[in-house]
Amino acid sequence: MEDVGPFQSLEDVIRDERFADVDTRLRAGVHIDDEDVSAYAFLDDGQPWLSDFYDAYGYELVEAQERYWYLVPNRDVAWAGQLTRAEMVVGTTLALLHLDPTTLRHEGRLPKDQVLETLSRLIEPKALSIFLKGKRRHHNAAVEEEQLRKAVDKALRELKRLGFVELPDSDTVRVRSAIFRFTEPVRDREQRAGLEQLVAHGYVEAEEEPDGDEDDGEATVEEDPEDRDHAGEGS
Amino acid sequence: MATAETEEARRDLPRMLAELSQVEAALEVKPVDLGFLVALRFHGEAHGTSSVEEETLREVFEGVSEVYNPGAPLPQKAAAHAIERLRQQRLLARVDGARLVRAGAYALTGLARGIVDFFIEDGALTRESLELLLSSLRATLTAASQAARKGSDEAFWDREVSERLRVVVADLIDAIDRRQRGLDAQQADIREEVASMLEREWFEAIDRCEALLDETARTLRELNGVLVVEVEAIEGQLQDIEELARAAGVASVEVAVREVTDQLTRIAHWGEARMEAWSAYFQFVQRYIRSVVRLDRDRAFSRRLRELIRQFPEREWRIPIAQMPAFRGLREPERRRIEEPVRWRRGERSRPKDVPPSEPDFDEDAWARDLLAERGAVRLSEALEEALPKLAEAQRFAAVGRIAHALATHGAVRPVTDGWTAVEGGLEVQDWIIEAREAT
Repeated sequence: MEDVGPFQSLEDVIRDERFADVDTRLRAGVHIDDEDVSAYAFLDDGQPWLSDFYDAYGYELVEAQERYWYLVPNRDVAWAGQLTRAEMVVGTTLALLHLDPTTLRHEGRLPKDQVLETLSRLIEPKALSIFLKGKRRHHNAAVEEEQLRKAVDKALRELKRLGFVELPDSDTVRVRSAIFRFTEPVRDREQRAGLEQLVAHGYVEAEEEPDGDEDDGEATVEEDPEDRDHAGEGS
Repeated sequence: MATAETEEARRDLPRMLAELSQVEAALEVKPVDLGFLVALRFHGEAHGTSSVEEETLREVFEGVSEVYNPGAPLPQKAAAHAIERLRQQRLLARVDGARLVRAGAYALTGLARGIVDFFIEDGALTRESLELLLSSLRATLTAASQAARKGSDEAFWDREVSERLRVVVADLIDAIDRRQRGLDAQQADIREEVASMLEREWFEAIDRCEALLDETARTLRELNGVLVVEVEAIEGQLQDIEELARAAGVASVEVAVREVTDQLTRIAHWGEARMEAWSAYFQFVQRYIRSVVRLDRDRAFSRRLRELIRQFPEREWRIPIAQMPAFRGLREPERRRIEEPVRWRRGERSRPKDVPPSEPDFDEDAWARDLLAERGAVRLSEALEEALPKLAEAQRFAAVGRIAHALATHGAVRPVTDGWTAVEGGLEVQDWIIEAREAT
């Protein structure tokens, strides 16, 4: 690999062979941690120029304390997205599991089933169904469980794309450093203050309450109207 | 295959059980007896022998008894009873056979060795035990190597070299192997202990966790260091023996050496692999301590995060992520190099660099025209014999081409079939006959 010293200008940074790959990933919302040695080093060296570069687009290039880089949109910027409800609850649950020292035994690897088990303990079934599947519970428990499992899988695939987790095999999740993004609201002494402070800084955005579909015990095909938002796009 | 064997075993089981029941086969190994067996095994390893005289047997037992039942009366009587118990259960066997000796020699049976293996298997590899085992290995190989140098008939090679490699070396490698597995188990325990300590004591456990991690990392580093140095030396010894065996044409020794080398490589690889695995785990735990434990002294993050998930139906929150269009700043495409067709400029091809052109007053063209006009026909070699002395030696090679070209321009060329002709200055040409054209 080419040994690139500190850059002298933005042009040098853009001319670097790693730029196209790193830039494309950052723009697509991917988090780049220090397991990706080459890309991480590139961002480390290019940060002064890249920060200004992305600032022009209304984005901040952030290096988290846990050693990962990502772009965060300023509040009113166009082209910003956010995670779906399912991705949010799955991601937050993974962060919770990761904080538990028992995950140390397997270096952050945990069984995929543990995500759904934990979620089922924390969120009541009706709401969980809406969050994960975007529709009401199925009257058949086995079908419902299968649907939830599929919804968790779908969320995990997206979290993988964004650099939050790895899926080494079909039953296992391995969390990466970026999972700490889900802990940002709770790092403040007061959770509420923390959340609000982050909202003010554009790190997290509180949403309106979800549509409260009543559980009529019937299978429905009603889709949750909300999916990945494009905040500010076209406004 | 395996299924067929299982079936067979199932069919034979009632018969086997009946037989065992009939002979009242049983095992009862008291703690002190187990200690005795283990001590005998270590005694054998330390003295490089598998049999023990009865007197030594009693001494070993007394040592063990001191640990299990300190100050117990009549140790000699207890030793005699223990030996008898172990003999009856076929854990100790007399190996002096029919020889009439007053005090017998004993050895551990296969059953006893199996039991001892089971209990000492967990004994982990330490720097000291590894160094001891590897130095025994080197000593055995030195003896084998010395025997190989003496060399004799095949029986001698078998007895002195092959046997040592097969039995002693294989045993020592097996001992290292077992202790490596013991160390693996110990590391799994440490992982468990680190997780449990943090779970129980959280912030207060940091120092002890870090000490435990450091200690294990140091042990592995030391072991790997010893392995790297020793294995290289041992491989040298093995290579030496292999070469001697090849020279003596003893194929069986070559095979034995290769087997030992393979096992040694596996042992060395183990050290390296464990170092890497531990280093990854070490970093992971360090990062966890840094990012979670130190930042969350009172363990509030988990509590709040759990609460956040519970509240999600009422208080949704989202993480914003980038969704930007692709960067349009296109690079300048690299200009492709256009390959020019190779072309020589006329006149330069046969003129070597650094050689000045032929004398300006020698006009090859005019000279050739005049020569043909004068003679009507001329051989190329003759023409060159006349022309070349007019030129400096360095220019002659290039001039041959120009003169031939000039002659061919003013005359009709007919090749001479008898090959190459030597001309002035050590050159050779394929001879032609050039005839003047009727009218030029």
